[in-house]
Amino acid sequence: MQSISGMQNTVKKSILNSTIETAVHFLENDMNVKVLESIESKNIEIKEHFSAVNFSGKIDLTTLCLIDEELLKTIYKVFIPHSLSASETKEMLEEMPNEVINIIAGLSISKFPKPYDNLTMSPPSTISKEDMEKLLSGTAYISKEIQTEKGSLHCIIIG
Amino acid sequence: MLNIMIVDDSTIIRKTLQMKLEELGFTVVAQAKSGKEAVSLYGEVVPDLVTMDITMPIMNGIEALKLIKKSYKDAKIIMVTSHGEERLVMDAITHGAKGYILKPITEEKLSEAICRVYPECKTQ
Repeated sequence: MQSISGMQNTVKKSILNSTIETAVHFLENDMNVKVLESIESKNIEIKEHFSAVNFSGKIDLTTLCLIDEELLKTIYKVFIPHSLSASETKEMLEEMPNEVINIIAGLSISKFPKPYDNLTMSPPSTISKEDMEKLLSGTAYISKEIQTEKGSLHCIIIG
Repeated sequence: MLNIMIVDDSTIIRKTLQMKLEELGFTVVAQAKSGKEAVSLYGEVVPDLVTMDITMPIMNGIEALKLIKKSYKDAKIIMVTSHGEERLVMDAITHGAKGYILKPITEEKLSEAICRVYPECKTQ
């Protein structure tokens, strides 16, 4: 019989896999970005662009996504194909990681294993780089990195 | 030509929706950043249709939908969501939403959802 922590780890792995599956579909089918591979990774390279959402309900956890600049700009171009002013573009790019995680995490909920497929998701939270580093150093996490032709997207389940 | 109000807390989604709706030939008459703002703006512009995000701070899209429908029974509201979670969408439909669009937003999804409410829009 599996222990509670063992069971929680199985659930978290399953949630991570659902998130990765959704992210790959989003990148390939909606953003036209070629995915090369997705790999488990224990080392997390802190990137400039990131966002997080919290899930609550039968299990409480945080999903954090870190995105390479080139990949973020590629996604942005699909959302906003027209030219905008420099200030508008900057504002939109800053907000882009929130929208990416909102879509990926939101769409992945229905793929979570039962009875965790009905969790409540918070709006994306803007956390500072320092807070993110604290979060990663103080709590257990599992992660996978999706490598694409435009850079990588790293998804981390914390909790 | 339909007059449409966009409700979403995300600047990038408001801009995306505005561009795609205008490319489809619709007029964006108002934009709101929260459910609360949407409720007060609705009476001023009385749009033909509203695209309403579900998850927003201050007042979420479902609460705003209920308040708008309470005062304007004929209001036509389409929910925009990233949630695969059926519970929220079903809640919105129960309270009078005319449909929903699952993010990421495309012109095809927008056109299909709007034309389901206004079949004549296919001719635009």
